[in-house]
Amino acid sequence: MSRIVFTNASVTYPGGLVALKEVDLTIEEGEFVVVVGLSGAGKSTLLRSVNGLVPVTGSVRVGDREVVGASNREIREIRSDVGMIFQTFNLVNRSTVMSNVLMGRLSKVSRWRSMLGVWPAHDKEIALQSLERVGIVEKTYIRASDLSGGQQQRVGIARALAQEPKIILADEPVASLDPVTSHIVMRDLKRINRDLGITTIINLHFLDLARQYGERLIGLRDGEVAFDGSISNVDDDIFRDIYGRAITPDDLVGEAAL
Amino acid sequence: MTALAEPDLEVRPPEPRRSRDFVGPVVVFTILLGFAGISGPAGPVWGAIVGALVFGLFWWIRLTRSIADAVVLVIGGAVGYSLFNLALAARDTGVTTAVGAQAALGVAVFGLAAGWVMYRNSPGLTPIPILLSGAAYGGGAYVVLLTAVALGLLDKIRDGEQQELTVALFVAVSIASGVIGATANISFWSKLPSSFAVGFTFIISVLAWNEIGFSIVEVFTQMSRITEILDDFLPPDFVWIKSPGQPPTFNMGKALLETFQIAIVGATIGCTLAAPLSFYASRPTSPNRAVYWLAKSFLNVIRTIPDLFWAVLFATAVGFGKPFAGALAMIMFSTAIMGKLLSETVDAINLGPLEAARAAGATNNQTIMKAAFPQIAPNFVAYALYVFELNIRASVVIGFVGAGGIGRLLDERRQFFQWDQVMAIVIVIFTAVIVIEAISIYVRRKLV
Ligand SMILES: Nc1ncnc2c1ncn2[C@@H]1O[C@H](COP(=O)(O)OP(=O)(O)OP(=O)(O)O)[C@@H](O)[C@H]1O
Ligand SMILES: [Mg+2]
Repeated sequence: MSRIVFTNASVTYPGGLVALKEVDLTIEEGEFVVVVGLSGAGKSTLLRSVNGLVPVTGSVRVGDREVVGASNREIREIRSDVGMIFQTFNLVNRSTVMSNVLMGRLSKVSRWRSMLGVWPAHDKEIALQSLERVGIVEKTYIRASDLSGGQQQRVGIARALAQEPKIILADEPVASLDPVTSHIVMRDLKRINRDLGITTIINLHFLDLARQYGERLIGLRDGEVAFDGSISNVDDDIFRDIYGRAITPDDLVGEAAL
Repeated sequence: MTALAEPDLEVRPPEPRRSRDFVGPVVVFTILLGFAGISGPAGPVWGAIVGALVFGLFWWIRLTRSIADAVVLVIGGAVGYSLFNLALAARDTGVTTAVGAQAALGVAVFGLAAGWVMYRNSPGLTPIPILLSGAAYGGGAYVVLLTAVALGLLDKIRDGEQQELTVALFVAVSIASGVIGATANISFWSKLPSSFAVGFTFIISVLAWNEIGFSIVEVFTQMSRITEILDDFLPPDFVWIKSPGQPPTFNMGKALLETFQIAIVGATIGCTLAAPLSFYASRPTSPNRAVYWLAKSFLNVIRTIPDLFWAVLFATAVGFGKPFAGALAMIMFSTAIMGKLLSETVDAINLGPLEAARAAGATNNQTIMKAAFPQIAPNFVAYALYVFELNIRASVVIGFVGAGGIGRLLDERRQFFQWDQVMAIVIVIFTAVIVIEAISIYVRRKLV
């Protein structure tokens, strides 16, 4: 079960800023959800409340586990099933692609083994398969910093896949990539969602990407859900409503997929 | 992962060999060997137990869980130990280098067994590591035993004079063979230089610890004979600076060596302690608030205490003029400096990888080891060299207040008003500091 249910979920940051306000949402297993909204609307906050990276109140249920009030150990168990992909890739630049991808296995192997770097063959195999899935297995033993941006993001995806996750959270995965690479990465994510049935939530800045790849769209505005529905029902008026302003060329990545 | 595209084995690059895979087993192996030595009679039974324990370790890290491997290790241990034991038994009938070779053969047998098991369970390795493992374990043991023969230690043992020497010898054999074995098991081709550097540093440190009397058991103090022998080699140049009245002769060579040893012990232990402290004293890598404040306060407090104070304190506690006091003072000094340098580096690391590790369900320590430490590793090594350099200088000064080393000699000559000798000592110190600094700067530049 990898259903995600937000009930009355709020996030208040230290300092008092309420970034998520009493959100009620249900995301079904295997869904491909795109989240849009202005900068500061709370997209990252929404994503991070799923794996407990932000202080959330109310209730967020991931499968049959509750994020709110979970112990350290329970939160690690939840995170172990939830892969995360970041705008800035968050790779350890000095380490090899392999050891970056193996970070996705940290919650699955004995602590001392992983810290000593003595990885079981099984876990290495999973890491290699994850790299094959995103098509960069030939870079396995190269330093992460020696890869291009697009390749680095694919390492980020492979790291998430190595967790054998039930859910993938992608926080603006293409925002630091050029348009062509953006499409490649979006297609990878879409394919993974379809082939493996992994529930996927993606924050996107670009409306055309949202429209092209999204199925369900959630629009956030000031920490509240301003729109939730099928992407096919979304027109420019709805975007205008979510954004509180007219659409500009800056909101589009351009260069439709090849 | 199921339902994935079938692996395209053509495209997969071969996995580079790495030393780390073998370090764990080797460390345990050497500790066990050392333990066997301390516990007295090593023999086939002990060897079998050691083999079984090593298998237990392999089992634990899931390198192997096969019965055949267990049998190989147990028998390898039993045979290897019997040979080792037989060789040392020969001390009753006169000791030659042949004895060393025979004992080394015993260690090599076990090395071969361990190498074979590692090889069998590490896909992608060629058979070379088996041979390397055996050769390296045996070679390490041989080197130590030969040294012992050359120094006449084995004769002492034979004469029944120094039982502790037997133990020291066992431990030295274990450590040296283990370290050399570990470095050879490796990624022999890719990481050889760095591994040997690590092994070498380790051996030097261990020797230095012995010299300083930095040991729980007194046994190691016996090894200080090495410096007496050094004395014999060095007389013409330094005879004019000897202090005839001082028993035992404490000359320039010995004083400088002592300073060097104090510095190396202080730097290794201090830097090792400072690493976890620095991570715990930095908010993003601290497990919780309490640990954060504890680590941070500790580092702050020891930083404010001058090295001279530590020296006086430990000289009073351990004994005036003892190098061990100097080593303790330098440990505190090194911890403080490394703690400061490293904390600042840790505070500036990229937090992205840490978040990624946490989001993947890693524990705090896993996050530190896998996401934080790799970011600062080159800095850590560079700082360690720098700390060593500072230690050399500091340990000159602390000698003045009774913490051993060349500072003690300087102070002593000064009290006798032998200014020409004081001048000579100063020149020697000056040269030593310059040389070490130059080496350290050169290595650091290569690193970062
Ligand atoms: N760690 C934090 N501490 C305090 N306030 C924060 C923190 N993280 C985010 N905020 C605030 O919470 C609000 C929502 O932030 P969030 O990062 O979720 O927005 P976002 O929709 O992802 O924006 P962007 O598109 O710029 O990434 C913003 O006002 C932001 O300033
Ligand atoms: Mg964001």
